[in-house]
Amino acid sequence: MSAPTVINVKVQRYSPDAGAPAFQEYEVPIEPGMSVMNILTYIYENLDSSLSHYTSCRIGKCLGCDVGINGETDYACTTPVRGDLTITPLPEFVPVKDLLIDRDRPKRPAGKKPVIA
Amino acid sequence: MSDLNKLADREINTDVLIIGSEGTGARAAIEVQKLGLDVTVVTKGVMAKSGATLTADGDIDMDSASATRLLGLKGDLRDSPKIFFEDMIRESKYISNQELVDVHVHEAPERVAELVEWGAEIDGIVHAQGHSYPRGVWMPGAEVMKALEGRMKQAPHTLIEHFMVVELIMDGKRAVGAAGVKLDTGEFWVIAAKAVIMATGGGLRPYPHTTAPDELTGDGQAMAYRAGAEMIDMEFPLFLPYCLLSPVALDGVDWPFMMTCFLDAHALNREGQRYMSRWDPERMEKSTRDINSIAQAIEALEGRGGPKGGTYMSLSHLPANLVEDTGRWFPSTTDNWHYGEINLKDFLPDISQEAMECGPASHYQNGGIRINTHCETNVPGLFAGGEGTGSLMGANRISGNAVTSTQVWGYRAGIRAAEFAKDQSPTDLDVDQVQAIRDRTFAPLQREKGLSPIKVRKELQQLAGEKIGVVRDQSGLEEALKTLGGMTDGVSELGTEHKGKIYNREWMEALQLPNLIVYLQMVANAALTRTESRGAQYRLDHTKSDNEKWLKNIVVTRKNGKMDISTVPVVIKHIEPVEGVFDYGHIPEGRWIT
Repeated sequence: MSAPTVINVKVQRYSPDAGAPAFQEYEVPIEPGMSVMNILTYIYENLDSSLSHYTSCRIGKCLGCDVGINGETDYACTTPVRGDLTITPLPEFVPVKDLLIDRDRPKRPAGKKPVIA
Repeated sequence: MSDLNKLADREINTDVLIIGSEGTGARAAIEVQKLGLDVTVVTKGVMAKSGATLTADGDIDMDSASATRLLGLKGDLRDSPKIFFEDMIRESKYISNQELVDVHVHEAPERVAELVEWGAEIDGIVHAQGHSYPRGVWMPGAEVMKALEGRMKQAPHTLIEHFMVVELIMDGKRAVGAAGVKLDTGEFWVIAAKAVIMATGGGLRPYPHTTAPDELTGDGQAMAYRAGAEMIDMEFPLFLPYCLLSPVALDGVDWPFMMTCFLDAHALNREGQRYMSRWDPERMEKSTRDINSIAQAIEALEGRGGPKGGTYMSLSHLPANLVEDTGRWFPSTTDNWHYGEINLKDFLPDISQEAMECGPASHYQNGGIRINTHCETNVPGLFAGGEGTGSLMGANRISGNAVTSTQVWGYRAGIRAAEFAKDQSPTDLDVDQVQAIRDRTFAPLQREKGLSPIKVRKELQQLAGEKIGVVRDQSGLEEALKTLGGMTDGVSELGTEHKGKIYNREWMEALQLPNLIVYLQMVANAALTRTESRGAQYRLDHTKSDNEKWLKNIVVTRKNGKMDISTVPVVIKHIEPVEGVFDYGHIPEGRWIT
């Protein structure tokens, strides 16, 4: 079975001025040797420049591109693309926009009062 | 005329503003804190999750004898700061500022030892090419940043992340602050400062392949230039040979280069020839980085490259199990075939059978803002250190010296900026200037149908790779400068497709583009002026190293709105270069005079 040349990518979108997060779907052509970071870059450069995500070194060193990939947390730049993708922001932090989160603001566990008011 | 508080969503006052939060910036901040001044550190990314320091593979240089005495490493006691000095001058191809180098080699041991004291872990010492003795204390960038971040965060400071400085604010000729965008909110902030330190690293992103992170777009150099700072040695961006061009996920990864250090790796052209035999028959692929890069570029240029414009790196002459075991012998870089957090086997073909296509990737900028030994620029109130500055490395940096430079010169910049700030009283910022920066900042969001910043950036990268890359010639550079002139005019036409203000990456690109363009103009003008080849500058039309005409540094300055090019004599302190015209790569050793 040969690998598909186009994959379906669901990205969780969020903007503070546009209500609750929602998934958006993209069809992305792929080639061998792509990472999830390459997919996000492709979407940003070719399909939807409004997509926000964090990127710096792209080569597994800065460790700033961790996101949810098909339900597991991993770095976008080190995760190879093997088929359709669902990409979400890290759930433990307050979202800023799309996949960008605020690392200084962890979400509080449900039902607990904040330690510092 | 409007008030400042109407223009800025937030106004901050600080003693010392540091632009850049990593090796240089964080080290400078620690000194400002020690002197009891208020410090504000801003970064386009997130501290310890961005910047060039983190991408450093591992070696940080100090002389081998000091490494043995201070850190207990198995170095070589025959080494000394003096021999380190000699190596740096020779490898700079005799155009380093010898006063800067003198400070560098003498202060490196103390700065590296401090990092260890602050918690950075070390793992041995390596002997890289260009060094007479093992000097590369193995301390990956992540360890450097762990130590610096931990130390900086123990004392009062303001750290502002996701903040892109768009322009310095001037009071006449003096730098008194900066204005820019808080990227994660889209707000326009103004920071008034008694002193400003530029710690933004190099401008490596204009090139299509690079080992550098995304944010190294030459912002610091471009802003300093626009503020009137002298820029020196801009013609010497350093390229690292044997970086992967394929697969796309690993674009720019320098792992094949590492293999040339560890193994008998073969670099082949499309005819299957080991072309390095024509360049350096003795050392072959273990020749210096500049020569390997130039050879790779010329193979491709002359039609003997691979499909991606590189050459092939082959290990297939070696037994498969020997290749497989490589990861066991060099654990710091390839532990279990991981490079950083990347499992190479997820992306690479079977490299015991197949060659990897690789080429030179932009890796470091030897040139930058001109500083003296106290990190002062010619602009009062503006200080700089680390990769953003020039004249320490001359025409070529040796391995491991980049991270050392962040520490030696971050430390010095912090001290002098703080001393300067102590004597200054607060200045009222010029509202008209802030208004102009604000207008320019928001223009790409307001322009309905503008040029796409993504498209222009891609055109720029292609131009840089083809005309201002590893090898250059007069007609290519002139053509590049003409195209860049057109792009400068195009800056006022840039418009983002998406108009949102919150972490709009296209907007960030639109703000970076003027910096990328002016940065490349400086590189191209200096490269065109230097009609010879030396270190990281190789001119196809002037292949000799000319010690008669070119033992000097090129200085680029903005004068009356135009780019002015001049030369200054090399600062000589201990070693005098030999006169004469020499084949590239064969400048004879200079002689000690004091």
